[in-house]
Amino acid sequence: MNYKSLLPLLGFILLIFLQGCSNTTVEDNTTELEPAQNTFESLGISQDETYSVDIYDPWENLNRKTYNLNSQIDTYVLLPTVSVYESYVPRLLRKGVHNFYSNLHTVNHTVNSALQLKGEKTINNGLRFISNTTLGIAGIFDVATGMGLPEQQEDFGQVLGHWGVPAGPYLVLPFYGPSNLRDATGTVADFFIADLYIDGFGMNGNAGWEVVYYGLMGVDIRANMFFRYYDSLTPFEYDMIRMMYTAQRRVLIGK
Amino acid sequence: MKTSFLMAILFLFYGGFSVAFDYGYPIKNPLSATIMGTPEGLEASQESLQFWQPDYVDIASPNSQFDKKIASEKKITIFPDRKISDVFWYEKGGMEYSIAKHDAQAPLIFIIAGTGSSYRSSIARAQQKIFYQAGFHVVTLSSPTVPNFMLNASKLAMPGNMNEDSRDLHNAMQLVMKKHNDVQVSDYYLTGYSLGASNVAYVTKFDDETQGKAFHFKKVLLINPPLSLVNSVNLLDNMFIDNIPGGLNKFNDFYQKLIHRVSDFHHKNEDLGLGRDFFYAMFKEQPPSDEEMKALIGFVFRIASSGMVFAADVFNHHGYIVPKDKVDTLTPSTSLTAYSKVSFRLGFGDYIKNFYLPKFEEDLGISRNRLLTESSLESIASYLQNNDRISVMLNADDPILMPGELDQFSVLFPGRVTIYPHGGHLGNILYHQHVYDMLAYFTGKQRQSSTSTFNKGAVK
Repeated sequence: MNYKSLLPLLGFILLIFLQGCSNTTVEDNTTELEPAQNTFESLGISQDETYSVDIYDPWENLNRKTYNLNSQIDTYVLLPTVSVYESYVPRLLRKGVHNFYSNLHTVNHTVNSALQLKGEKTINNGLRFISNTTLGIAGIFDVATGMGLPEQQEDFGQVLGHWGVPAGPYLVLPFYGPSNLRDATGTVADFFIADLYIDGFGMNGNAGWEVVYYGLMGVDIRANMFFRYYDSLTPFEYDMIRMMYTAQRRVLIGK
Repeated sequence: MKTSFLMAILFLFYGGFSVAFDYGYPIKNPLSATIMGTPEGLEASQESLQFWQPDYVDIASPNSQFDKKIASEKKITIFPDRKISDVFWYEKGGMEYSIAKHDAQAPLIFIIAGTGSSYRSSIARAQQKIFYQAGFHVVTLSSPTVPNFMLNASKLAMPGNMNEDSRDLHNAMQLVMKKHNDVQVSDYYLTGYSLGASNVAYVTKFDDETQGKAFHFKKVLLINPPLSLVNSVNLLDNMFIDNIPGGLNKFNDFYQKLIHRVSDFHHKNEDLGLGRDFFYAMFKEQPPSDEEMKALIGFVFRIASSGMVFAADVFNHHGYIVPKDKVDTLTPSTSLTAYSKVSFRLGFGDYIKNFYLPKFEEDLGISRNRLLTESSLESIASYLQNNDRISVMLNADDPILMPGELDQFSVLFPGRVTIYPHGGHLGNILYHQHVYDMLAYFTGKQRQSSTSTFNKGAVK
């Protein structure tokens, strides 16, 4: 087992707890100001009611900072890298890389399906992994989809949700983006599961290999995502994403 | 000789005929069309557009192993001394646009996006690719209602005044071309969709009245414009307000029910994932009611307009949503959730009535009535009627037009109106026939195998 890859994530979660403890009061001196033309009172918005945009977010200030940091990382590191990747690596090879990682993630999907006692999905994902690893030559070709075994993602956050663990506070993870305490814990658990097969490559303890492995994985994930920061054209993008992420997870977990 | 004459008559007849009966855009419900757009496989393929592709065009074939970007995204500073609030930190650095240029002398077309759409919205990008393949240099610009444009390229950052917005657009277009003075342009063309189409009409007029730095657009096309900005905005506002059961205060109930429904459908169809296939399947198997679709269209419009109003308020220190003295205390990480709730309640119509009109009246001394009249294309009727370089494409069932407004276009653009029987608002803009007609109009080259419907007369 190798925990080094987890350290930044764990460190970050610790940081938010500290931030959460030290910075709970938000300064508000609006009462001294001339109120705006439109206010909660004038529009009949209640302070106590929960609106669709209200998501439990006690670490909002840090989350917003992380969100902005992520957008900078995206603009100056990830997107330029993806651009080079798409211009110089042939499509066929990129597809192979994508399939390779997807296949390894199928191990997580299988374990996580099983942990939710989803029999059909477990079998689907298990058979998918076996056929793609063998017939698909270490997962480089996705033969399983054509055989009626489509990709069916299940992450450990869904496992926790399935067994009743509440979402907890909203959380923006560096690099990863939107999450919550439950799903971030799930992400850590998924790393542990991944460590099992990464160990199998004999990469254990070899920092160079891990950088290549996770670096290429990051580029592949980003290349297959359409999202762009501040492309929604609304100044309330943070709020919208928070609302949509929460809804999406609710749909996936089905609770 | 006789036969060819007969053939020509038949062809004309057939051409006219096809508008009513052969128009193949498949979605008949205007609201569904507005939401779904053009189904996969019915867009204009790169192969089918080769007819218009000149030799100098260098694009990767769809089977190419390497991605080759045709356009580059750029930023330009229009007002060097302008200070942008920290809460809009990500908009600092200039007005964003994109340019796709050829290494040859070629015509250049500007594309102006619709309300709440940017220069890189999916329609603008698709059109950019189409025009690029057809041999045009292409510059795409965001709608003047988008915060990036407002904060960087608009003099007043209060969108909605057609004259002001077109002046801002024209200025931005001039500066963009000045920056790219290496591009070899033969002639300038202009198009826009939705509100961008209205902008286009006024930009052309402004250009004609400009001394010296004019583009002299050779041809201009308006795609699905509103006739009157105010009327269309009210229609869209009402689509939202009137179709949330119990009113906006009950929006959360509506939203929670929606998620619940999506969740249920997902539970039964887990193999579909949560992407495009999933939503197509859900739309097909559990078609939403017209009321729900109106609410959805209105919701999307409300998200765009609430952001626009917030940006206008912050920029102008107007105290409409954010208390005047609080504006300068906003930072990149200030929580905007409370402001989002307030903004979300205020429609574009509220903004026109309680922000834009009073402010323009006060600052520029223009009466409210005149401002309202000027928001309609009818206010420049004589210009439009006498300018045969400007044509318009409409859908008979466009939900952003009031009853009777469709007919007015034929008065404003005599003989230059093409009306498709259905397509909703922009639903068919990327439909292949629409694209062929658009290219035929701009290039004057008619594809033999396709039956063009352009300007063959209006269908009612």
